[in-house]
Amino acid sequence: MPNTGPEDIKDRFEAYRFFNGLAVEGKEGLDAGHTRIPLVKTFLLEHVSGKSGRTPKPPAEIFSNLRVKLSQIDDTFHSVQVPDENAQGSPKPMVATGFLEQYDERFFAYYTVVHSEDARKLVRGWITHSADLDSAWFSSQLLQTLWDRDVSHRGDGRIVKFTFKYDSIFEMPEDAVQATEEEDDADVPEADRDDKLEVERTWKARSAVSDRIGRIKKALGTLQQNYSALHALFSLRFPSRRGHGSHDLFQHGQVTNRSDSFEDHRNTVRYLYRAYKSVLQATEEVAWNKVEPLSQSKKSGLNIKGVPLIIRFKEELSEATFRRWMALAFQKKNIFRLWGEPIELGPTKVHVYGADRHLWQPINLEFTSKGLVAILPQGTCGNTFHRLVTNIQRYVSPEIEAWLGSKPFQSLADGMPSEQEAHDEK
Amino acid sequence: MKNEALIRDPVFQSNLLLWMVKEQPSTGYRIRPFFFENGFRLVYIEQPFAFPEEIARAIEASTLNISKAPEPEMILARDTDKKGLYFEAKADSFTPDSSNSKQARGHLLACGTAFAETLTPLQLALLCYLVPKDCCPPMAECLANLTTELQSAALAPGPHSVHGLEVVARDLVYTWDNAFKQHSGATEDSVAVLHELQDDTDPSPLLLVFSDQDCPNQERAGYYRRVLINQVIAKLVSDLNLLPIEQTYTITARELLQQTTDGTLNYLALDRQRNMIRIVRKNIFDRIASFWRDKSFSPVQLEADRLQINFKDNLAKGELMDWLEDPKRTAFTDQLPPSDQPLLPGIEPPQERVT
Repeated sequence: MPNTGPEDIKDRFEAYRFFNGLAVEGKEGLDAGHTRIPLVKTFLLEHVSGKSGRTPKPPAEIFSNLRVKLSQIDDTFHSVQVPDENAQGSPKPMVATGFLEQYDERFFAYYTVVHSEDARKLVRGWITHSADLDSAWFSSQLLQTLWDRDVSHRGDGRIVKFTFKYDSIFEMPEDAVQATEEEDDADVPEADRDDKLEVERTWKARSAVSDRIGRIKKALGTLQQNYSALHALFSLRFPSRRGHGSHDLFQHGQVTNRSDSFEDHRNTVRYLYRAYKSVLQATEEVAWNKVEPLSQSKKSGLNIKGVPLIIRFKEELSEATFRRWMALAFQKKNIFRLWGEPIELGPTKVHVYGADRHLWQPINLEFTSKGLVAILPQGTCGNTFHRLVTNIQRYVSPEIEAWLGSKPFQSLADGMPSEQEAHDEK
Repeated sequence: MKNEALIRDPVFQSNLLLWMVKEQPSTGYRIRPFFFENGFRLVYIEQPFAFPEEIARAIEASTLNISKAPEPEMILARDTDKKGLYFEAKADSFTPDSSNSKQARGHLLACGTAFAETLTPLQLALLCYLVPKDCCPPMAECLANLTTELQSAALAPGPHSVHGLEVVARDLVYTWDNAFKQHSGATEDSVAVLHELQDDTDPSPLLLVFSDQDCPNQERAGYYRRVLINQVIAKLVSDLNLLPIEQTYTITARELLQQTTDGTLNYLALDRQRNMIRIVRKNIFDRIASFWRDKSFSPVQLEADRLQINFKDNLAKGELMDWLEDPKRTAFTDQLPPSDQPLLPGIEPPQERVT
């Protein structure tokens, strides 16, 4: 992997200028119909320790355990170097791959111009190997809310783009259960701008729709009613408020810059960070449901086991699909990242008193052909709920209803900052 | 399990009640959250009731056989009118001659003037006995007789009601009486709390409180203990995966159970605490220790009741975690360890339960 960042920079603005130069060149490439250089992209990461009862760690400590060298540029901005896996010998030389900005104690943004596939592999490796880090999970429901409340109001004449992904767990080959994450074609080629449906394999429904906002507003609801896979939103394009260019937001918290300004890109990422953070806070307020005891002098079993996440599938799974799901969901390296011993209570009902493999915290789950109930302990990070919902829509049932306690899952975004904030952020 | 048998199962009954007070959507709920919908919230679970001094003295002075620390399944509160619901669940009704009447007298007195004194700012309680629907009339008669008996002894029992569970077609229906309607303001006489029951599927929701007891379905008698064991293993697996190399993890069976029961362990009857601790100690700790005892550089030590684990390197950690995460290899049994075997010397004895 070659160096893909300036070395020995004096301040963060030098990095911004570097990314700006690439952004201009990248935008020119996009305008010409092909990308000459990799686009600038950001991965929004969550430090899960911050809210889960573990002691928060500074980024240098988190990343040193991942063989990543962070060099501080200012209080919250670091350059990132990783071992060059393509180099011979040991130890492998370090190469610069981008920059890490700490937005707050809980959220980091990793800016890079490494090619998408390599960048995603690198970030996925960090998350897999660290119980301190997770992606910011923009579930299909959250992407839909961002479309409904924000993107659809950015001007009927602007071009927007959706991608949809539904990988049927029933039809998925055994080896794909572990491999499918490796294949996220996050940067869908610009050639997919037209409305063509792209079905690559029988178990993978892939659609990409690009058109003017006004036209999509009129058609999307009807299309989703007729084809449930269109509820499995995987990415959403945000037309830039500067009038040209855009930013693609993906489910796993990647934002790709298709504008000619890094500052505009960073502002969009900051806006999405605030939106996601507000949703997480709302999630945790509901999930933890703290109630004061009647008597301060006596402990009680208040709110035992927290508030449940309830997911109902619009279409009941067949018994065969359910059995397949259960057979695959608890393999060692499963896409749901769950651990546990399934207890069968009927042909289409299973209870698991297990653990979330990513954060390593207990989770109790009820699986049926009609839905899922999850009970997570007090203090569970809000993103665990969003990861579950994301994975259910992606692999099991694209059209769902979900509630956290008595609240519809989508209502967790009610307190999201208004779309205007993206414009106001400096 | 046959649904008719399930409504007599105390573990199912208490978990059902807890789900009925758990916040859930009005449509799409797992168990209809009837009490939550009616403004009640959980304040105590399986916690013995502490009588005010004067009433405790009166109980001691009485010739009647009365529990001095009756333990309800749960107590609910409604903030708006400061009303409380005090629940006891039973597999069957009983008569005043039954040994169950000792606790029932205690429950009745707890719901009298004692309730507001002990649980200020709550003011009014209603004792709710949950039994299978066909047991409601004899249960109501028994509670009425016990009330008269207590009043005759110059004691002050509180009001009571009887709630029933029955299977109607494919629904599990929860019923109540006029006393409950007056106290809670509920206008209906019953509500279906669980739908689409099937003969081949156990309708139980995820368990929120755990038990050492046998499941009434003899084909899987160890089911409740399996759930208890799996909860504990999940906590161990989680903790150990997060344990840094060369750092010692140390925990007792009691500490693990306190964490996995949200602290309710201390409120359980002593024999239940003892059995649960015994299951963790014998079925889990002993199994882990014996498997790793003969391994070179074993990361596991079991000293008295304390399990200690320290990984010298990532290889040792990977080896133990691969084993612990594989239910086929660990094969923790869900049999209740023999109670005639005393806990080994040095093992932490059950503590006095919190009252």
